[in-house]
Amino acid sequence: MIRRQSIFSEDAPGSSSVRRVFGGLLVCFLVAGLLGSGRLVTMADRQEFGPARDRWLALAHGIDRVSSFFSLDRPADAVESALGRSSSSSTVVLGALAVLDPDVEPLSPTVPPSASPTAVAPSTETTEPTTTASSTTATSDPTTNTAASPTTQAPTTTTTAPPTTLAPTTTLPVFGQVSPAAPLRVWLGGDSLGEYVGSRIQHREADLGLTRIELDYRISTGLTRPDYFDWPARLSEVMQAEERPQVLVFMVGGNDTQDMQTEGSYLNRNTDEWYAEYRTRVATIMDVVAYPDTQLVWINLPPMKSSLHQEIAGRINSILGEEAARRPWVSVSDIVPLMSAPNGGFTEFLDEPSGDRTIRARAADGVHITADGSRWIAEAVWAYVEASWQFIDGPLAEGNAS
Amino acid sequence: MLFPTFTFASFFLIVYCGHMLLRSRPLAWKIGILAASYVFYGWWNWRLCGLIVLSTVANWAFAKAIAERRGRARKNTVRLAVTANLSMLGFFKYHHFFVDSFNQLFGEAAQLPFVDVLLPVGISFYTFQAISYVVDVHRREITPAPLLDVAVYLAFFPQLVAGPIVRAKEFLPQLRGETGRGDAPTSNVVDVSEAAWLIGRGLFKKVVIATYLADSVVDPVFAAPNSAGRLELFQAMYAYAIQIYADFSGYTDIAIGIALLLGFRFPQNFDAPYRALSIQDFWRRWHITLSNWLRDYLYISLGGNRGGSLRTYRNLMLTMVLGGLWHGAAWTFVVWGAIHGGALAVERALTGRRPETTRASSTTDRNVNISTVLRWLVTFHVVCVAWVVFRAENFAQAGDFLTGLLTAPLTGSLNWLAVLVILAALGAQLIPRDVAAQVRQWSAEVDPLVQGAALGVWIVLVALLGPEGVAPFIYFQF
Repeated sequence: MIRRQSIFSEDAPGSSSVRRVFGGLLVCFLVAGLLGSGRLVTMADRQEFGPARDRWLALAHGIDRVSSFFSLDRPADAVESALGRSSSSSTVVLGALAVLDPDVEPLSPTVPPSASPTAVAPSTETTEPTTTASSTTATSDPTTNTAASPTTQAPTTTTTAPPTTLAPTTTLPVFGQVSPAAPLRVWLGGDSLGEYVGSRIQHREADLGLTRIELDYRISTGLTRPDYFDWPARLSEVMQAEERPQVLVFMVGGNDTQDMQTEGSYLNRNTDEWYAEYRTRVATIMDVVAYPDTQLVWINLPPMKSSLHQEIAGRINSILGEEAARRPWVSVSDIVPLMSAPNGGFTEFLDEPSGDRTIRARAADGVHITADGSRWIAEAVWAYVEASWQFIDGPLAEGNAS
Repeated sequence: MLFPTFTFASFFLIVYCGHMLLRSRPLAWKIGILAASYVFYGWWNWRLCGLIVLSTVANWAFAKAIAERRGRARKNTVRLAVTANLSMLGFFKYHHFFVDSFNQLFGEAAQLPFVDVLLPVGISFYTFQAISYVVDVHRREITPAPLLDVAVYLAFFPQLVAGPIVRAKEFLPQLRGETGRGDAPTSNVVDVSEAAWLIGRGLFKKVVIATYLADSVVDPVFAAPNSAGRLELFQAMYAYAIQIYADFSGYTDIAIGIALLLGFRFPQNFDAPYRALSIQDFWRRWHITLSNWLRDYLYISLGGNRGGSLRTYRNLMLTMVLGGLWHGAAWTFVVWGAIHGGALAVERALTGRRPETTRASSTTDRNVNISTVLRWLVTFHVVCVAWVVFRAENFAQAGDFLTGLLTAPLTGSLNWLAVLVILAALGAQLIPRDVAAQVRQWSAEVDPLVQGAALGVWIVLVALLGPEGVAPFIYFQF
């Protein structure tokens, strides 16, 4: 074993008294706090709502005010700016086809005419399980059918039994045409739950000659904490770009087991008020991307290990399905059947769809999806996207390695 | 609670205040640091504390029983203690692995049920520490410690979740102030310059280097290796070698620095591993506390190199395979260990029983010749290829990656900033120790308050260059 010679004695260089070290620590934190006060506020802001966060936030804002007064935050701001990390605008711009107002009648599936794959047609009645359904607009969690619960106030009764496969039907109309001269612009984003799916699609499923793919995954994000990361604002930014994406594959929700704050009210998680606000945020995102010839594929949440997380995921999935049903440009990839144990709940190990072997599809944390599990989802989602667009040079899959 | 977080910074400031007030009263200090350690550990899940309390009481009782017994009874007691520790580790960490492997092997004929088991953070580390305690008592290298001392040893928060693996005979004498170095927690002397250096260096490696390489190069390529070009694959392989080094050594640097502030000197855990000229040399430099543990408690217990060449090769292979399995409950880790075991055996076969000489040449930096470069190249690439298997989620992914290294088209674009980071990280390993020591000596002359201010500026810089969220830490899974 390698041991360094001890320099640990009273008169050794670098040795100091504990009291002096404590002073050094205080100076360290003071300097870090003052120079990085912006980050300090952000870090405090990102904690879970509650009295502890309020206290930290008050302290951080106090430090930030002092820092700003003496302009000590300028160097950090300059570095952030140089790194392109200036806080983005929180402006949310809705798309041309937005239907955010819940009183407005759902759009006709024929608007836009080219944007209504049959698999995305709104579903308004309970259907029997099917083995051939494609990505679906309305979902229900097999273990937590909260949409049908008498204690909930779900605005619709839309409950489609989950499909057992994500394979698309063969008769999908197309959103538009894709060719090497006009490659499909694809944006893949969300939280860490979908990151592998995005990477998989980018590197394996999509023919890069016919697609231009952008990955935009932000860990620890969701819809409950726009103060941490504001997805509607980010997607507005994405959609206002000169060449906005034509396909968006989005997956969030794994971190959305937190309370929410709106202007003037505090919403405890897993309450009717919380779900109503969550529905508004889901609808906002769907409407932000509401442009002709634009397709949003929203991947819903798999079964979760903890019962609370599972209950919330089930309700979120119902909301996704219901809101997607009102918007022809949105489809929900229902991964619940793909990711469920035989009893419909969470399991780490699942049989391959081919039945050849059992693999670890979910991480032990009870939330994340492994690369293997993500592969299934990526294949299903990309097959659906392929079926939704007309490729002049033939389907993308023909050019794929596997 | 992760080190590079606001929560930990606040926690540590409170702990250090308590340390300052209680350090003159050993009993109160031990109770205080134990309580702080349980808070630190329970931050993930308070129920996990029950397991570490159970391990503490059991190993304290085992050690007492071992010390009181003689002959066969003494040997049987230490066997029971080691078996109990390994059983706990096996159940909590390897249950899924064993059941899955069994079910795969026997198919429909015999299927074992999976039990929903929570994997306690850091269980591999504190279990190995507990084993070192009872075995050292058995070997009469230390005497049994009081329950409170054992509890502090196993739960001491700086090294609790990710090492380094500090042995009882290294920790307990410091806890009791028996080293004569003045480095007991009750001492009024702290090596603040080295602590600040370690913490600052560790934060940069962990938060900036490891995260950047993971996000920009490693994760995207490993997600779909068979669609990446050969250049991208090579870049990802080298980047992962740097990522895992920066991630793990960065975290243990912080751990050692924090322990130093509290008066404990932990053993060094990394020593420029990528300048090694042989696999044996690599393991003297990589995760030193683990490789020493494996050598002293496993390899030597198996017989070491006593008993002929074949037995030596078998012991080498067994040690490395089990060492691989320690890293994770998957067959990829077993194969990773086997690659290293095989390489060690080949080296031994080629060099015979001659003493290892590569280490000396690797550290002098003055005898660089063709042979040295070749040995470095071979060693580095064996290590890198093994890392591919280590990083892969399954053999298919590893196979795709390794096949691609040989057969993929020479296409793909390089991330030049990542290339620069990889080269800089490799180059940093060549900095002679005396240069680093001189820098530290220079900083040692600076007042602690100024050092604190400098560390504060450094932390802000690291925070600005790092990711916006808290990056996960690779070695927690072990």
